[in-house]
Amino acid sequence: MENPKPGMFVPALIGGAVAGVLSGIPLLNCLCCLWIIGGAMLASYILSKNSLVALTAGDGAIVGIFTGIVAAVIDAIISIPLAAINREFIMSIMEKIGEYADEMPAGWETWLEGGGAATTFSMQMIGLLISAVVFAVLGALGGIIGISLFGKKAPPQDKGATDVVKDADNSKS
Amino acid sequence: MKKRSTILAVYLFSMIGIFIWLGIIFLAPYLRYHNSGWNVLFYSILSPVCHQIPSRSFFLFGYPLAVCGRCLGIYFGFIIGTLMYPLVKGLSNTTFPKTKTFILFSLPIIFDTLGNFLRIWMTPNLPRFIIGFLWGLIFPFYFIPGITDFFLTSVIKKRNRSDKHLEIET
Repeated sequence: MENPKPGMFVPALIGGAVAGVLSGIPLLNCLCCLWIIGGAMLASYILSKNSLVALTAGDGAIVGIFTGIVAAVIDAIISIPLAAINREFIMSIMEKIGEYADEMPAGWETWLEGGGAATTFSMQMIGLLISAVVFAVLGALGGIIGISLFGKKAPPQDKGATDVVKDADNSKS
Repeated sequence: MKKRSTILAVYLFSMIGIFIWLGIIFLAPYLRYHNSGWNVLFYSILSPVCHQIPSRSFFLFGYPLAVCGRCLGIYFGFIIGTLMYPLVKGLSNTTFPKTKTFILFSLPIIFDTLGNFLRIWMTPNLPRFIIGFLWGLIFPFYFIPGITDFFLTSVIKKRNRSDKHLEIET
């Protein structure tokens, strides 16, 4: 028998690719976790569009988790060549806001000097693992929101079915 | 009863999770202030989900928090939303908010993000925090029922599978 629920792999791959690429590109990555939630919502939208039946929030959570994992991998791959550009971008922002330096605590300008040093392979793998977990949680949230917004609403079949059974019983008597 | 206990478990785990999350955010500058090497790990955990630009972050002990003002607002909103959840919906209701409500809570962050992104204006950190807070407030009303549904469906699927096995054996 044909499964009325479509596969989750393709929607998760599309949503994850979009979220991963956008959260890895300098300037665009200023939107923080919004891309992951947005990517998971996109995956839910694609999933519900291809589905013949109403999907549950659990389906949204699963596709969101997969989207988050895909996004974490793609973000990690993209971040390697873009790390230097990313750092330059942040430095340029820091320079631009230098005029407000009076309002900032002392020593803020040296803050970036401490970051970005740990780029060994093992650290990158740990980073990927952590981001996969974090993105999966955010993806689950986005997937659930996506299903609630775009998912097909289940028709009130239960009530109808009960009524039919009741009617059948009445006709026998 | 099963649904109620599942939603209660999801609720408690969400609450514990978000408190740990906020703990990481606030511990990072504290550890850096005390020259502990662990601060790198704490900042790194949150770096994939936030740009961590110091000018857009609140400071503690002379160092920026591990997330920006907007993200901090989202997480604080999540905590308050989680606290409000049993009062607003009760611990047996797994329906989602209306689409209109989601749009209403999302409009400020969309508007503000677009304005900042297109460089029409630059929002200071406190309004960013408030806008993020508003958005985060609605998240538990999706997350808690959604994850509850996820666990309930997987339990039903497992039960159906074991029932089929029993039928085949008999």
